[in-house]
Amino acid sequence: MTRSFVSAATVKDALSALSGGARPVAGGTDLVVGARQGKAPLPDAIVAIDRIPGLRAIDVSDGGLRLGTLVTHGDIMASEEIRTRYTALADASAIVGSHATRAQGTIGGNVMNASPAMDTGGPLLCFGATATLRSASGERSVELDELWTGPGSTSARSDELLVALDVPAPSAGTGSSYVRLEYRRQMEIAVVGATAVVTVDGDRIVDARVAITALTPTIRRVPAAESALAGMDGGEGAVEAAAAAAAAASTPISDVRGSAEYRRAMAAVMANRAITAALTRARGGSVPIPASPALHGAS
Amino acid sequence: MTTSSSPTAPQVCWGLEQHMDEVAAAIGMDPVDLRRRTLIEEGAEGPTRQVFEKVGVRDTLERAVEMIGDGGELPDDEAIGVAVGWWPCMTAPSGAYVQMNGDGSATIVTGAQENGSGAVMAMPVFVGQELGIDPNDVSILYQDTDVAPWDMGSCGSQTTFNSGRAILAAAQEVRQQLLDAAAEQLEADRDDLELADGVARVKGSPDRSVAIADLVGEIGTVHGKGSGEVLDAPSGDTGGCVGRLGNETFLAPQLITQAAHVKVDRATGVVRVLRIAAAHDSGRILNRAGADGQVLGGVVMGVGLALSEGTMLDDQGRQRNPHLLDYKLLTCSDAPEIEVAWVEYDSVGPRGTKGVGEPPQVPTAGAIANAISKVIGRHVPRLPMTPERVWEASRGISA
Amino acid sequence: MKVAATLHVNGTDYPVELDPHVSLLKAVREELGLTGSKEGCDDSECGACMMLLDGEPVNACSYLALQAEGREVTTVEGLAGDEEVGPLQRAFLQQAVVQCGICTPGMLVSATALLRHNPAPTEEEIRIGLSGNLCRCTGYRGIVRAVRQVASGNVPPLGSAPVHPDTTPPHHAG
Repeated sequence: MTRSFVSAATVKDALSALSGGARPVAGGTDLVVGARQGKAPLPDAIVAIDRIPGLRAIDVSDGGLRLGTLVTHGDIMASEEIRTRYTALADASAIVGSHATRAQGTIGGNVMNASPAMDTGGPLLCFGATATLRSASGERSVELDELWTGPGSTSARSDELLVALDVPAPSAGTGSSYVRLEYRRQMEIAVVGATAVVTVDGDRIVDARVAITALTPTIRRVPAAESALAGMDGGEGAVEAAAAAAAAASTPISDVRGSAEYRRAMAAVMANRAITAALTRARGGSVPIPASPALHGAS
Repeated sequence: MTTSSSPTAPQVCWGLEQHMDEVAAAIGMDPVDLRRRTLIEEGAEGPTRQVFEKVGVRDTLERAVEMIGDGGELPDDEAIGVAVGWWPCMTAPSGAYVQMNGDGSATIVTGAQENGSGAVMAMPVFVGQELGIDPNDVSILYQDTDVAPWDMGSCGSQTTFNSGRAILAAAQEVRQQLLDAAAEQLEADRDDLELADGVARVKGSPDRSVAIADLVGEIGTVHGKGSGEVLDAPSGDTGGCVGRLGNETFLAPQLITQAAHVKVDRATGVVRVLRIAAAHDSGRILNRAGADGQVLGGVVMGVGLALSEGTMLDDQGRQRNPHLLDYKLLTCSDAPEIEVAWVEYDSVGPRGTKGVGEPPQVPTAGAIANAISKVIGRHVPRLPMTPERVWEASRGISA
Repeated sequence: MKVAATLHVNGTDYPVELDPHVSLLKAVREELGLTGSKEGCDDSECGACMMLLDGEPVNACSYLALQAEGREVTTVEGLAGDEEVGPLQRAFLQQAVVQCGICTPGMLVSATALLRHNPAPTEEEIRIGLSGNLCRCTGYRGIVRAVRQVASGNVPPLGSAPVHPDTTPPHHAG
């Protein structure tokens, strides 16, 4: 098959190319890199979507946040709204790859790549983000846990384009954090990650969302961890119970980055740190962004 | 697991220096004090009966310890560890030409390879000193064995040691020719002459001089060739178990002490190296910028060897981590602060120099290992000391 | 099937015809003959290929060349502008941090991007900003100092001797 490349000027143009069998590229930080490591060859027909106007906006409203698919990790890190109210997402974007990855990599590409180790996935899931997929026949919203069907695969049709992520506004009294196990301080993929989004009212946790990363075929929330926290005062006992539940929900593999046993143990450590940092932030305390390096050394 | 330089030394030093710390603990002595009591000095005899000439290893210990500081009251997840290592100078043949140009400048022709260490670029200093001319007036034709004699190339920490020796010998031939011509022209005794500031002159009578450029013009062609005397390693007794294992004695040993200040995240096993203090006896230092650069790069390589760089093979012998995402080199934000000190004693090398390139990587892993052991109370039994291995060791599980 | 395009690199337009899969690095090196950017790993793990795309850093080995059409590409050759050698390059030379030189072009590009975003970075910010560029020779210390030197405006003219801030003087004995 002959190779082709077009740069779409509008979403309509992009959809038309997708219907014709082309695959989209934005920053290329997953697609092109993946072709090098033998993950998947580059598609023969490529449609670049990075020039489509209007897809790189961060729209803030009372109801929440709309992230255009071309919003980069750098944009996310710099957004005051995201740093303040959706802090876990800022924690995550701040440690994706290197400064170059963060400048070019998009949130849409990140989500559609559906890696079980992607850093922004846990925060997006815990905040209840939905993906807006557009096609020639219209638009639909998909919850992320329905979008991700397995490592590297989504339920999107090949003629659909992710155009935005909608993130509902968290309630007052919410604090959040994403933490990952990293061997180096930069240029890493999460060995194990954990996200916590907690809402407190006085000394009680009224809502808790906990997700684990790089520990299951797709990033998922851990209901048992969440119920260990809900209604509790967020003391050490509750946090440890939640962390243990996160570890129990993990089905890690052994690979060059670590053994399954180590990963399961680290699931509890990362969950503990994420929950603790989220609670600190919910209560008005401060944990630097990104939380991961700041929490190195925490017991 | 391999090293790209000083092959085998970092691993052996890592094991041996942890053993030293264990001995110190067993007899209730501070590990630095134990080393003070046991390190070699001039006249000491090694395990193959090599008798050491002046070596600066004790000075390197004191300097490294001084530079790292005692840390004051360290948090219980931080510690300082020390390790001492060494590496031989490799002796090899080399050859060079030096020629004078009509304007009084000189040109070195050498096969020596410059890969950025600065070893070849410093050779004009030798020639300048020998001929009394400005090193900036010495050009180099290098790295080309079509026009220059055979050279070993940039490996084995020996460019200064061997190529330098050859260049110095070639320069000395040129020196003789210039002095002979000057003696005749100035009607003076050769022994009364010196070469300095671009002239040949009578010592103590600066008005009786002739420009080197003029001498060259008089003579026509002035050039020298040299190899220098290829030194043998010192004699030793290879009858014992140590003697049969390769380099039985060390020619012009380079001695190094490094101290590492590390922080261990016990819950995950992740180790951060905060600072390394590196003190080296590499003889006389010719090119300070280049020498410092070798230590800075070598130490970071050593940290990688200690903590994150490991070739993982499958049961067919294929590498499981053949790319840089999972064969982990240190990034800029992982690299520790590094302080460097030189202890300069003369050696048998040209103008007292020794090699520099490989030693910096030798004791780094040992120093880091000794620091980690102080925090977790146990030794990590394998290299690299990855977070998982540190974590397992700290829980009393062996790999 | 090659696609015709124009790449705008260091202020100059270059008409090219490229296979859609060709990376920006390959196109710049082989079609344009600008070999300053290096191929170290070809999969975004080392930074030797770093270029700027509309002022933002990109691992050119993993970016499709055709996507760069219409954007401003800056390579190491374009960093000094009208000068022969710019302040960052002078600082690198003065700190004696060009050893083998393979990481240098990428480091200069990343440092340029960093200083444009953040003209007064802390040491931590410099180290994070350069962490996409691996170096095997220098241990990074002098490179960080060079960036700090530029940020503080203290770069001497070309030809100044290398300096070693707070390197301890040698212990002379024997």
